[in-house]
Amino acid sequence: MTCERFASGDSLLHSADPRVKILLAGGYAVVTVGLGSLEGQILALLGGLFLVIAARLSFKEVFRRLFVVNLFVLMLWLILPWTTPGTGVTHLGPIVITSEGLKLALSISLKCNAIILANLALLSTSTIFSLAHALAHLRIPSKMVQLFFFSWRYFHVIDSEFHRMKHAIKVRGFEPGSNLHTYRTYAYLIGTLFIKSLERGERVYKAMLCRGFDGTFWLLSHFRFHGRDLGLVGFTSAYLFLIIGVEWLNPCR
Amino acid sequence: MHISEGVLAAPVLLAGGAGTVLGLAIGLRRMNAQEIPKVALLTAAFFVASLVHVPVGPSSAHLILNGILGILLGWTAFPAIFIGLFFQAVLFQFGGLTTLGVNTMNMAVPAVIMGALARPVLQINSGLFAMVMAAIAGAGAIVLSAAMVAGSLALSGESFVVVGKLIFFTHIPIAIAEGILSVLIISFLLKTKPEIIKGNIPSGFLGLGLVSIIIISILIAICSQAHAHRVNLFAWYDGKMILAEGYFSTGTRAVNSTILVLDSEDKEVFHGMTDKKGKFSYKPPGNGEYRLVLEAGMGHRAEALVSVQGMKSEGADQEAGQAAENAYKGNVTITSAEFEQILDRKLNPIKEQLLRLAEQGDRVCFRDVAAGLGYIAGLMGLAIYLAQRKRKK
Amino acid sequence: MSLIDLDGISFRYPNGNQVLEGLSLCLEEGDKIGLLGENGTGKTTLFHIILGLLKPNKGEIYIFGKRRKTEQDFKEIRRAIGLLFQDSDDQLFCPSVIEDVAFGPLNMGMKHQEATERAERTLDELGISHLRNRVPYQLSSGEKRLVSTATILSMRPEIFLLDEPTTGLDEKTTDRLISVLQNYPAKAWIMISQIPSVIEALTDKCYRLQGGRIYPV
Repeated sequence: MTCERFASGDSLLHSADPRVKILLAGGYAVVTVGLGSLEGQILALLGGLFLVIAARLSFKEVFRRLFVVNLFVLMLWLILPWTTPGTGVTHLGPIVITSEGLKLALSISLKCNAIILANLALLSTSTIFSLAHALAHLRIPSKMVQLFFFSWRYFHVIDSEFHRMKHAIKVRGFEPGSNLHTYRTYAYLIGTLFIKSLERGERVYKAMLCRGFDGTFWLLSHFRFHGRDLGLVGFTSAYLFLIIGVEWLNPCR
Repeated sequence: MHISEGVLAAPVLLAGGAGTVLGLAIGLRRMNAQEIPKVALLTAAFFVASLVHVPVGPSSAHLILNGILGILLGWTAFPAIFIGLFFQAVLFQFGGLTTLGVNTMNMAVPAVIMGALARPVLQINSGLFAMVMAAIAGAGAIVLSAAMVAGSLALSGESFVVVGKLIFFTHIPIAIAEGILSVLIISFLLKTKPEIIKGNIPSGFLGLGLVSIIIISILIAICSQAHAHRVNLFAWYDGKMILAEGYFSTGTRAVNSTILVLDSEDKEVFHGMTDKKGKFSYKPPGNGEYRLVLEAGMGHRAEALVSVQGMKSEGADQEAGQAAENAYKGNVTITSAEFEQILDRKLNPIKEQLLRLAEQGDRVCFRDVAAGLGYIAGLMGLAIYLAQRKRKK
Repeated sequence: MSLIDLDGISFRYPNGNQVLEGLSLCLEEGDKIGLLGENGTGKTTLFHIILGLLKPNKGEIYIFGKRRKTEQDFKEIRRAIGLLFQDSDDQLFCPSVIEDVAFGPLNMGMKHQEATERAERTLDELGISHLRNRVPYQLSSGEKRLVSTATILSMRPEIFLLDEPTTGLDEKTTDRLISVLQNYPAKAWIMISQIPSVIEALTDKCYRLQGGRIYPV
């Protein structure tokens, strides 16, 4: 799996406290979503770009991720300009392109990409395990955190199990197509996967009981808040306040 | 079927977040410590299965399977879906953090509802009836999710209505595929390990079945409401011409839109366009009832009736205009050109006032959104109450 | 003409683990090769490469005298080479034994009736007709192994690739499986196994996989 592709690295953002990063990512997203002015949105996008540069992520990979997300944005560009009521700019046959529609599509593109860049730099630079850990320290209910841990731990086991099963049907000459045989095969495959997962879940629980599990989930590693984390918090929140200030000065929608 | 960051309006995001927190709380309460590994493993399995691409006609779609998830997990589908979506947001940037709440609601509410509908049936029946129920749960969960996605887009602004519709209709073939798959998966599970479906029924499931039927019917009612009055057409007869103006419910004018004029026998007598100010005028050929149809593209459509009386007849009675809620019907007869002008001058301000009023009444405002949220919260409360009562027994 | 000819195969997993390095192997008609090696030396990987499930980083694969490179090339040969998986649970996934055994013949383009008949005949040959309507996942591990063997045999392969076929089986089932394989008219096979008696009974040549290459024993 190419899952945690950004999680390894040695930048400031990689070594920062995951708790801080979660809170900052949340703050960045909330502020950006609420932005109405073009100036604020552009600043948010630039900030996201800066964070990605600071995290020294592979640009090729970042671009690939952005490309996939922007397919949805592209669909909005194709539809919004002529479905948004407002003053027409130009005609395409019977279709009227409105300036409001164009502005809306632009603002969504900016905001969406700004948040994704910030998330890539802040969240994807941690492993899922350390994020779950951080969530536990942020007073997320213990049951939720445990679910998190287990799901991620066994995701890989189940994924490779599923791959082996897919190989096994491939060597028996299976080729997918739009027919009942294909659907039946996939249904049986998925059904088998569910049963195997359930049974493994039961075995895991029994094994945990054998080692004295009583419902408490102990956390071994604890995060420490470093001076450089303070720098990250200071810089990011100052930037967010700057954006809010710009937004306040340009209240237009 | 995830909505990306930056698209939805803040009230929709907040409502989604609040609903998800509530759903997670119920889901986690329902799950005891012993079930955590089981639920986690199923979550992982669903996440793996959701990465599978299944051919649907000439293209392919990735699976969602929230109907099956609801049948197997009940309320616990909430945390399972939440975790799956979180992984997707952090690992692949599908969906997003701010939309996590809305996206979870859109997938998990149909899962819980369909699970509550189908599970009691699957418990007592393994034959044709069970298979029909599995199909309904599988396809219905997708249809409902798609409707909720479309709904959350539509609530975020008039502009997204078309996008929402597009998303809804592209999910119809996927719903059919998932319906077929659900039947096959459920029949597989019933054959190989029936106890995971027939086994202990999660508490409160039967009552939920009833509640979910009510929720679905209310959703359908809301949807059909949302389609009405999106574009308004105001038309009247001023003594010489039929005049009309088209407005969207946001207050903007419907410019360059087609208007059809039909006579009392529904025969098209004229078709033209509104001008840059959204206005339209037409000189009717004679007395009678006329129906005006405004087509503002992509299903925006409005109608208005105008009755033309006393045309070219002099010395008839005088009547003031009448106002209905949506359409302004007027019949004015003239004694002299002079009188007509005076009357017109007097009536114009009133006419404008009426237009403004009718417009405001149709605008979707924050109050309506709040009311909708109230509905949802109330229904959830009812569901929790019923579930708690079941448990006490 | 050799049936399978591997030339200078190298394979590295995306995580950087280099398992095969310049491996060459030739399987002639009538060969019954045993493959030894410690855990994690790439024996199973080698089987997956022969069937095109994994693509080598370097090297050339010739099967039935033709260079095999694309997915289409491998599709042609998969029905002629039967791979028995190490874990039967990976292979069995249908709600009944008969459906699982008929799955391969159906993929070969047989009609429903024909495929079912073929499956029934195969179960009969293995002496497990009584399992016909059982749920594969509920069988004992010995029964599972026999059924997964049947799912391969029902495709009538010419070559076998057997991945630890007798691991975890009791003596009686092991003997039964050995006699089934001995009686099947395969052109050649390669078998991975750690059990000396099984290697002796089923192979006449033996190689050891070590450091990414194979050496005769």
